Amino acid sequence: MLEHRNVSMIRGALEVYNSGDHDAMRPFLADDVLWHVGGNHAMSGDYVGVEAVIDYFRRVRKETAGTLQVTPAEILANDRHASMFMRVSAYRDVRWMDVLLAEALTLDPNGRWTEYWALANDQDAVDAFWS
Amino acid sequence: MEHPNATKMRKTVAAFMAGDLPLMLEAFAPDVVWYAPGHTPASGTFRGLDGVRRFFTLLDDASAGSIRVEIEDILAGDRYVTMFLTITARRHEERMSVLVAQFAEADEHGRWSRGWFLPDKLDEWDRFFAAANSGRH
Repeated sequence: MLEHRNVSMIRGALEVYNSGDHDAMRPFLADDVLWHVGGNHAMSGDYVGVEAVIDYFRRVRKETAGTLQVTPAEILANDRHASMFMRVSAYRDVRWMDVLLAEALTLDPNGRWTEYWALANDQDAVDAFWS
Repeated sequence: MEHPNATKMRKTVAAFMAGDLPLMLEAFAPDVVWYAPGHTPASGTFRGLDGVRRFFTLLDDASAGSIRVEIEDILAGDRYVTMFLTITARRHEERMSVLVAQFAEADEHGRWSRGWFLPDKLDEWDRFFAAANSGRH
């Protein structure tokens, strides 16, 4: 069965993300994208608009010295929504994080991401990593 | 044609909305682990059928039975399923409406063995359910 075009688009976005070329993420993000980062840590909060989200990506990359990698276990998508089960690993100084994130996306008609939110299988570990 | 896991998840939601928690729980693995974010008694990691029962009972009690779940969309594969749900509830003059992404992982028997319950507007969710009766997960 052919993969939905939005699944293919997300795979492409994740490759770009892992490359660290965050400016190249712009085509995947709606202008007014709303990005929720849950938990209780320095990165938690809502990021609104492409520039704020790209800046958030840059901060994450800087804080983890480029070690953060996302590896999808599963990507599901149709024309309106997508979800990802994502292994996320990173070093930050002497701290190591390796968690499974459940991630939700709403999509515009062009497949661009309009809203993102997520939860880890070990949120305490995520909070400790960013504390 | 809809994926069998999508159909199964619709039945799970229907059982909850009918108030038939025993029927709902038949869809879960005995060692299910359920993750829910936020800062309410209905937040944290809930383990086993008793934990899942407690989570959904907390939601129902805190909303005085007013909680309503509408399935907006379902994405399903052989192992993972994600529902997008509009959940509304009211208590006295207080109202809540959030979009919840409900993720589930099926075990080899097709039972829900792991779930993630994610409201998009977590602050609104927290405010409403902070009044839920606390207790052990």
